[in-house]
Amino acid sequence: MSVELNKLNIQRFYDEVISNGDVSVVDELMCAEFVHHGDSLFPYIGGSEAIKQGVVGVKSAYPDGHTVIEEMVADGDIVMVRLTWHGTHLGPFMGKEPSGKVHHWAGLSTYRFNNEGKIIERWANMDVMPQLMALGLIPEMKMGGG
Amino acid sequence: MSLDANKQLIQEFHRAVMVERNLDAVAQFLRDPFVDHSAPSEDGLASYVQWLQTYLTAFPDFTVETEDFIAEDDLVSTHLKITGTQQAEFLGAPATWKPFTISGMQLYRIADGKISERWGWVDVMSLRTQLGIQG
Repeated sequence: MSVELNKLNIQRFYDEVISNGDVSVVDELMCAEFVHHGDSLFPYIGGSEAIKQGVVGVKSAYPDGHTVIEEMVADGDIVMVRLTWHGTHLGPFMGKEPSGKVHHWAGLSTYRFNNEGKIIERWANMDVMPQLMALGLIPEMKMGGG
Repeated sequence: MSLDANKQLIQEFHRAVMVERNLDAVAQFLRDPFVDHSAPSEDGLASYVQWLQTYLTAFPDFTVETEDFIAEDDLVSTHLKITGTQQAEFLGAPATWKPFTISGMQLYRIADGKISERWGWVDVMSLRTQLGIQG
């Protein structure tokens, strides 16, 4: 297992799959039985097929949606990413009509690779509150920091 | 400092502060200046201590389990599971005595043998839901 190759594949996941919307690359980078250990804002996802569907859904609502990797930490079979996501709301999303506004959020995501160098699981704490508030899906509320 | 030394620093920091609840020890681990990107303020050390105090007061039985401690260059990260019971006021809501379990993640930068920057997110939305805190 190569730490450098793992980092390269995380960069490819965000550039090719998330930012370019190229779901054909998912099978190369991820196991079919991939699990996203969710939290309340970005819930559990079971299987890489669900990732592909999610990417298609977000891309249709935010055609220019893209991730910027701010930092990466790689060690053994783990790569952790600090990232920001930005997109212009041009299509219906979560029941809301397009607003034309730029939405954004930031967070931390930890990926584990298997022995074949494919992503097998992920934990994420993505602070999508700014996007949900901008969409009017949740009211402004006090948070306790992290 | 070596990667192992960096990981050890963060493990000792977590033990002193989150397990032993020794808030006086915070200044030994945080560099001056300390930038807390998840709670920006002019005095990063003071605001970090205040955040900890808020959690430790509201959840005196709070435990933090760390997993997948990793290090590269000057960065250390871990993802965590936090459990506790709300025994005092939190986010304006009075004590509910409800238990909670949430996930979180922390990223630390080490400089001059101390923690110089932090980014952290914990699942506060789930915490609010588990405790039944509205608005």
